[in-house]
Amino acid sequence: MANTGEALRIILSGAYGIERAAELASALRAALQDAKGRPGLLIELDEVEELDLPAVQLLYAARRSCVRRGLAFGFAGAINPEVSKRLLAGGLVSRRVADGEALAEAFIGFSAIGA
Amino acid sequence: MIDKFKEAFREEAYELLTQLETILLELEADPEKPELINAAFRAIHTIKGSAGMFGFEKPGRFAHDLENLLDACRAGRRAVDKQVIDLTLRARDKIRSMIECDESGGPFDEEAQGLIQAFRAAVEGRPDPVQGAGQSVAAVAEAPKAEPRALEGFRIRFRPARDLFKDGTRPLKLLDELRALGELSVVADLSAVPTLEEMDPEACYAGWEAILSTDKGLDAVKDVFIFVEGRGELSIESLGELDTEEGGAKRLGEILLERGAVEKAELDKALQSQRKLGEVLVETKAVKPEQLQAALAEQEHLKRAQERHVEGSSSVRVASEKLDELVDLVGELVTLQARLTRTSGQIADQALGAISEQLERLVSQLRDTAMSVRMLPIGSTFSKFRRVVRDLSRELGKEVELYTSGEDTELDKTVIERLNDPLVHIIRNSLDHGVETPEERLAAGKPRGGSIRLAASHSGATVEIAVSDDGKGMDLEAILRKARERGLIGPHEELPRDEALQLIFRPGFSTAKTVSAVSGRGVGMDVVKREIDALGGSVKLESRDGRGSTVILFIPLTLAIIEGLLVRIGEERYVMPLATVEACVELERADKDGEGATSLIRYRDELIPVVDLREAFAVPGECPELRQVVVANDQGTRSGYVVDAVIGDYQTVIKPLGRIFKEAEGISGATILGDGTVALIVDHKRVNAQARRPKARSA
Repeated sequence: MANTGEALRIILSGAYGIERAAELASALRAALQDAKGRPGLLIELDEVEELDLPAVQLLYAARRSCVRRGLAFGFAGAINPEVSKRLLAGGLVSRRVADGEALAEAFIGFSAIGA
Repeated sequence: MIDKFKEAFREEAYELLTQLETILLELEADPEKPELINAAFRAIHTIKGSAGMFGFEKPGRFAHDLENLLDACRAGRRAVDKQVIDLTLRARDKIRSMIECDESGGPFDEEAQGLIQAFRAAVEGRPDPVQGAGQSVAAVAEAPKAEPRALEGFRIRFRPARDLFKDGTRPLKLLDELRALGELSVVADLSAVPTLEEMDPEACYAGWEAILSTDKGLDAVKDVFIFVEGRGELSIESLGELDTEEGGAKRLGEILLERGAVEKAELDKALQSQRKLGEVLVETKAVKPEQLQAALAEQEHLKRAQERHVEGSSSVRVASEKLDELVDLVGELVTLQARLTRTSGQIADQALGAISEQLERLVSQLRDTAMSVRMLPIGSTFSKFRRVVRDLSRELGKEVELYTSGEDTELDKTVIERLNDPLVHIIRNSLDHGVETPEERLAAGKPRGGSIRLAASHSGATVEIAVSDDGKGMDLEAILRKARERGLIGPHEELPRDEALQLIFRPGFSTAKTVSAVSGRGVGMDVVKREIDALGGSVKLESRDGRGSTVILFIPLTLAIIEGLLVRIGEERYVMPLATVEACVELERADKDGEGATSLIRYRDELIPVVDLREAFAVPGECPELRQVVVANDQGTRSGYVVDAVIGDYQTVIKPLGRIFKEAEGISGATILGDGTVALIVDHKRVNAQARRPKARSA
């Protein structure tokens, strides 16, 4: 984890399947604590090779927690084309996405969380 | 007449064999996928059937034996392993060569006999050969029965139990299985996901709404969910036959009502507002965003199914020569149209002018339509490279995977055909000289297996094709050393990194210590560059030490007709490709900094090199006081070209120059103008390179 002085950046790296769900959950929970006093959380996805359903659910949960606390929650970095393809195949996004910003818009019902 | 049918069979068989190759390579990576085995079986089964029908009895008999092997795999009597994939790939090549060489009958050669024996041996590796053979024949005989079923739509809702992940079930895999049955549109619903604090990270909170069109029937759909039965909510509802005139387009409101996502009263209220129905319903919270997405996906799915029904019933196979002829004729028409416009301008007759304008619009539409018919997705070429990489990496003892993206990118058919050889050469080069052996990679702290990525994308009027590897990158020192040895650069001349890399495209350059059997067919990267130049494209090379290199090809979308900028120099007229033109600016003689063919001008706070085309092409006559500079932007690099006057944009039908003019530097072709005179098409990149070269040589 690296601090930028603005949003708290969390760098995800590698394949996130069910076996890493608990690890990702505790990382996100810890980040939520660390983000106090900051505008929000920014998840870096550059190095992510796989994002299975449990990980996607955790990202939705993290957004819901952030919205409750009045924090922003977003994504940054390029999305691996394979990850994008799998997300689309799983009906989790509305279109293929190339970067984090597009992902936040394309995740189904994501922007409506807390609205 | 018979030849015509044979030709049609050949084309179909080649397509199926290409598909089969792709399927086998995917199967090699993922041998557990039943849909892939089925697809391979279907391809061979179809080839066998039509081979017999069109008198190719020999490949038909051969395919029958291969089919038995694939059928054994399909029925689970034989595991799909390396041996099966290898055999099937070899058999695929053999069938292709039989069809190519027109071997319709007669005895099998030694290779074919050997393969047939190997198929039988592979099938007989199973525990109960007698029973197996019986099943095999039955399965082959039954296979056609599954074909004629109508395409049916299914609306599937699946909300699994929270503990679904616990036993290793992966719901996304279930969706893959559904997709293997037909076309699937799916939208997830994650609205039940709670906050991080309340959430169990290993529970499943997601649900899906899917629309599937398939000809496999309800039972096949139910089978997909057989292992999760009773573990969550599942509903499968038939939407009836889709491939009819009536099936298809429905209004969004209708779909939402059918799905029970909205009440009739709420819908009527929303419909009264003059805004988009979906937006209103979500805004008033009558419908959840997920429900709207799912309904929209269903609407789109049904619309596509109907469109395909219309397309399917009206598409025809046309010989590519006929398309070429059509484009040639349209080209002639474009030229003639330009003459008509010019003549009607001179005659100044209102009625004639109106007809000419109307015709111009029609010709322009006709041109676009004719060109679009020739556009093909580049993916058809990509699949061939998978095989190249597989076979070659084995030969070299390397472990290399090919990843492709942008298969849907469309290019003119002729361009695609001519790209094949340069791409094969670049990929072979990457494999041979770029990616290291597993041992070298491990020693360098990299994963054993290397990768080559092939990506295509549109960028304006060009298509960008990048071939990148994660190998050791280019050895800059070796390149410079070799260039000095070959006299390509001076003995003490140093070049900036980018320029030094481009040296490998110069004729006669090769850094390989020995001529390898792989990338050395006596050709080097200079041949690649020449081919790409001939296509009107350009090549760029990037390399990072220890991390790999990338060759990027920039290819024009089409070869036949371009949008050009017509300019005048003296009495001559020239055409510059409009795609790279960024601006035209005025130039007074005093603005030019320096004499001769090349100099610099200031453009948007940047000094850019300009080439005086009058001097470059040695056009005689007096140079006017006020002239124009055409500023071209070539992948971020600007350069200017001084002309006497800019006449305007002009649709240009490219006519190749005869063999005598093939070497004419700076000219890529010619076109016939409205008044019947010829204008030359300027290849500004070459002009620029050439204008800068003499100085270096004479120094």
